[in-house]
Amino acid sequence: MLASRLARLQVVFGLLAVVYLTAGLVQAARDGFFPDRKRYAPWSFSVPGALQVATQLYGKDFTGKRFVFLARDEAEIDPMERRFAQGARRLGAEVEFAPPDRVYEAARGADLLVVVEEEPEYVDLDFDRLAQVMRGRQIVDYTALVEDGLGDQAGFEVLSLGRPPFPPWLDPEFRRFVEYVKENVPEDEAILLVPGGPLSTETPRARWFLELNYELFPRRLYIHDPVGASGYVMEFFRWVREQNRRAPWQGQVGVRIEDRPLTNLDASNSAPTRTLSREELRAARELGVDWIIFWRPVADFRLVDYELIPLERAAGWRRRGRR
Amino acid sequence: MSWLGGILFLPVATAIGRALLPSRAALPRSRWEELAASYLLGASLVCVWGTALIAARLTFPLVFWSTLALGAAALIFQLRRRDDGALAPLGWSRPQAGLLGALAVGSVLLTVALPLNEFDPILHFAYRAKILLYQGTVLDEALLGMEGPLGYGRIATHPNYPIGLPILEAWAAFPGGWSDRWVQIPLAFWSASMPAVVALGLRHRSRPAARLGALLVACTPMLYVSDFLHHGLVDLRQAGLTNDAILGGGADLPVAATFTLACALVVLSWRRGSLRLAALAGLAFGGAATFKNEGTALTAVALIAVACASVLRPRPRLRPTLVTAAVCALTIGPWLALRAELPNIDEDYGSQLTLANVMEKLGGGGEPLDMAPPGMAEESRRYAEEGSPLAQRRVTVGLAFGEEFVDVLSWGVLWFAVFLALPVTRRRLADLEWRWLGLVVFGALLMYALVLLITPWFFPSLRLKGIPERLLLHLVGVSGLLVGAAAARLGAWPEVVAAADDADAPPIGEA
Repeated sequence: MLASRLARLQVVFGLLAVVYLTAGLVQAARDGFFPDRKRYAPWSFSVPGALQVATQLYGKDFTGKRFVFLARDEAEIDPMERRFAQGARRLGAEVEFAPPDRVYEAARGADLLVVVEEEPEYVDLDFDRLAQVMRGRQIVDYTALVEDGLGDQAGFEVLSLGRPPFPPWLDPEFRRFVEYVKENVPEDEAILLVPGGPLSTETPRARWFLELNYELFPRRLYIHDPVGASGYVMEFFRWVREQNRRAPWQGQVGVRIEDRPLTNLDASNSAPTRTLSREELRAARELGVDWIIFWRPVADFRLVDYELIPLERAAGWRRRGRR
Repeated sequence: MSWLGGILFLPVATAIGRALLPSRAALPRSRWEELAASYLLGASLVCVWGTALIAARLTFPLVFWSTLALGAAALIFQLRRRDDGALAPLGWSRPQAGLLGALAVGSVLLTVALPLNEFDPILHFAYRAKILLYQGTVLDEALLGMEGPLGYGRIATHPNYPIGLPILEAWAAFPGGWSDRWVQIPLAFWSASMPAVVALGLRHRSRPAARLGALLVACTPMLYVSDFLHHGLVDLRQAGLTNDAILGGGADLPVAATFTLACALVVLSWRRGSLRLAALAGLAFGGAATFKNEGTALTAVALIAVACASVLRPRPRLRPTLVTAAVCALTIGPWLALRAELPNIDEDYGSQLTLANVMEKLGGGGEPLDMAPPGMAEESRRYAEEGSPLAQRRVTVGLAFGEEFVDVLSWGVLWFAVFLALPVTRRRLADLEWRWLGLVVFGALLMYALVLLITPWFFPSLRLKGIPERLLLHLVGVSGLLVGAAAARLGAWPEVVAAADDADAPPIGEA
């Protein structure tokens, strides 16, 4: 009977499964039995916006600015990144491409570093060395592999425009923030998550509150409209739009704090801290909240976008109206 | 010591299940089949009992200590059991045993080689396991407090998903603390168990049929990974990492394994007229229901299939069937009661399943574009404007199933064998087991197609998330039973004779 012959043919696919299991075990052993985010195949996908970022930094005239692209050759890079290079040139910037063995020489005097290719020499950057040679402190990362927490420590603001291929909980900055919160917030205390400003993305990757909620349990995490926030991806889009329509940050004052423990980018415009609205304060009191996490929801988890503040301190900002 | 609980769970579950199984004389089996069936029965009992205690407003420590005590009692009972009988090996060749062993050991090791690393296992299941572990119950503000003052509340994905998997993870974490890696120990044995219970369910037909069914299932790549090598050699580098991985903390494998055991036990209970086996089948169905809502739906399909199979002679034995149905009600009931108390925030298929909705979709209804991610909505809108058949849900669902059936990288030739084995002729329909297994597979496929036809979500987006392949995975084991039954009946294997250990088994069914 054909069905039983087919069933015997299935053994071939069993061998395929053995190959998979063996490969998985060997790779896991190689990674120290913890998932290595660099083992995920990168997406050939990046988002536009680098030129917009650059114009926000330097205005519409890039004359005298030097942009260094970490890629071998302009001809080999993706159209999106090439358009950025061409646009930067058109606005007057000097654009240079650096081979892997000349990263730090090429970066000398650069205002902006643009990471394009995934070679270790490009993504595992020595930020202290860069700090010594670069003029600017901004890095655009199209690979999503640059560890922006290390950049932050050296005073670099890394803007990721690539799509991270690894799951969110493997983001090193996320893990660092989780450890920081665990160290500071006892397990029986509660945290209210408050957006610092408009939610600029609907990408599901920006739902960091889900991962924080898991990692920080049994600490209680609260958010506005958790049903919409926790639902399917499609419901998250609606939730983002609804939060932007509600705009709880409207009428509040941005607060720049000088003692941010996890970031050296105190002066960054990304600081999420602000005064709390009357509604947020009331909800915090009714829920028995002890802490506020101010957050700026973007796809990449950056330490500069998150801040943990005791409720009473945040409430004091409102009372004093401090900027 | 966070691994201690996981390791402790293995003998506890196996001892409980072993005590529930009839003696080897009454139910012949090999050591492999016995361990697998015992483990799945024990895990089912822990999940069903745990769900019942939580539904009765008791707390998780009681679940842990009561099942630990039960395991100890079962172990003592087993040590004192005298009339156990001898094991009945299946007669594997060395290469066959080597392949099965490699797959089983590899799947167990790879499950715990990495900590929980997928969205659903972490956020849907492990999160609720933590709630059980730290709060003692899922009837806690962590799940019930999603709508608090001024619209603020707690965060939870799918708060009303069944709690079988969370119970197992919390059990593993209870003695030594939470570990994202070691809570997976109780979850590492589903793929290894499934082929064994297929063999158990087929050995009465013939040992070659049992071996064939078990090999067919064990060698189905989907038990371990989907779409392996679909992207080329890069999949080798990413092995075990991406959401193509099936092993780990997901709920589809346990549903598949316990549902397979339940179907095998139903067949055996008919064959032997055993009320004990019928009750155990009900317990395994109950176990499947505590892992995923689909477990309840599959149980309903299996019971409806019994009713349909009863139209022709020989009919299923009535008393074992009634016992199975009664135990299903007893084991699934507490979960349904508990579920009614949990928030229902996103899935309400019951309200979608209206005749009007089904007819609308069957008549060519399209996708809800307001539920679509922005990038994907554009494409669907274009299809709708162009009048493309791809704008119709019935077409996209049909295509999705078709793509899966021919996806040999995920399924091998399983579905080809299944379709060839369907009982579609009078001669085949005269075989009760074959008829019922065919109805179960066909009915479950129909149910999943219907559910996807009426789902309020944007189907292309669900497709990207692994639907329907993760649903089809539930049917791998019962498909193995079907193909094995067909192979034995048609005499494709020269050794097909009634196995000696089954020679005195009473005839199946009631004429």
